[in-house]
Amino acid sequence: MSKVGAVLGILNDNFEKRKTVFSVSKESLTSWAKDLNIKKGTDTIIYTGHMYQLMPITKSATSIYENFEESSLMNFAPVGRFINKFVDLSSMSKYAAKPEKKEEERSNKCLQNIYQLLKYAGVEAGYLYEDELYVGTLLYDNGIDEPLINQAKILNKILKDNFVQNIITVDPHTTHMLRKVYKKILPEFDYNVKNYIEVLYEKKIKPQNKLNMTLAIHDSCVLARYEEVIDEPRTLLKNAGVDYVEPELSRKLTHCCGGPIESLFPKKAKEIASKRANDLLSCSNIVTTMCPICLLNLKESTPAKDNFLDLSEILAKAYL
Amino acid sequence: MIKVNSGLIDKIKIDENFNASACFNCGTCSALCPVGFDILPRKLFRYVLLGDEEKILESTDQIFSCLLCRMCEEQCPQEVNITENIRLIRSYLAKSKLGV
Repeated sequence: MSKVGAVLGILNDNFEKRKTVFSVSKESLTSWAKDLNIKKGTDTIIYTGHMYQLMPITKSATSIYENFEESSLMNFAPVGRFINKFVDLSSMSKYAAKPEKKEEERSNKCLQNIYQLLKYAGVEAGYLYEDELYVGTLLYDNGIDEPLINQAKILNKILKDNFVQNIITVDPHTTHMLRKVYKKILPEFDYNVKNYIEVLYEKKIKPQNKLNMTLAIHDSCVLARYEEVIDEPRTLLKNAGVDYVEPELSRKLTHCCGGPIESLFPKKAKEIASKRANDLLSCSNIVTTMCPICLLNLKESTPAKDNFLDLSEILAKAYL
Repeated sequence: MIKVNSGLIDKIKIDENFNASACFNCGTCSALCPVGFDILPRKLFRYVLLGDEEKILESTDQIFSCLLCRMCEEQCPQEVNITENIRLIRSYLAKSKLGV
């Protein structure tokens, strides 16, 4: 079995057996909502898809994987897959690659910002808490689509049981999966799915503080090219007084952050991210991203880590 | 010598969106690719259409290195569904060759 086959096999086995690709405790997944008094369910929900919450462990695990990606240890990957069927290796990775507290706090803060921004826009969104599922982007992108049908059926039942009609997503990948892919693989999966950026734009929210700052915009490939959400974040930034700079490759011609291949080829992913990060930093010393994967990959590819900000972090300063 | 598997295309073309035959091999996609592998996607599509399974297997790492970012599709003069085609090739490899 090849390295690619073994790694994908582990992801597939985790998804089939544990409903996620990388085990994180339910407490870590839902702790962002702890003090917000969010209702369970309701007709409109915020759906995190676990993406922001997975980034801290992704960062620490990828940094370890990077070190032995090309080593002979990878010959044992098929053995790892066999063991993983009985023992959840990804849940043990938190000991080998302990996520940084500040990364966990930052991810949680981004989710809290998004929820508060929606509230400011007049949207009282509910949340599924521990019933929320990872939507399987990593599997689908790698051609493993059969387990997704089962996941879509389970999620559809959870949504129906909670009387959900409108889903507000927080990251581009979950937006695309729930809006396009799930509807394709399970026709009865019929919900009104919008990314939070679209909702804030439609609600025409007004800023409470005008920001006096300049930044470069990094469009997410999925948000810009798959979902055609391009002008919405720019309008929100412009209304907040932000002077944004367009890199040479932006909008529909945005350049990928490398994130989609970080699980299989972390070194190559980092090379791509580094090139993009340098292009962005040459436009402005502050850069905004709209996807937690883009944020993680770009900031970790450069010494200027603190210069990369999630869009929610900027919008919160202006609108909350 | 190429060993041709004439049934390969039917195993990969399980979705109506698979349209590798629309590619006229201009290479615009390869010029734009952020990963920079020249095999992706024009040569790869030829191997699939020819049924050259051996070449496809040799290219496994490159096939799974595609970012699916769709930069290539933005400028494709033939409107080839490049990323979906690659995803379907991955699907065939994962199920039939990689033991996933």
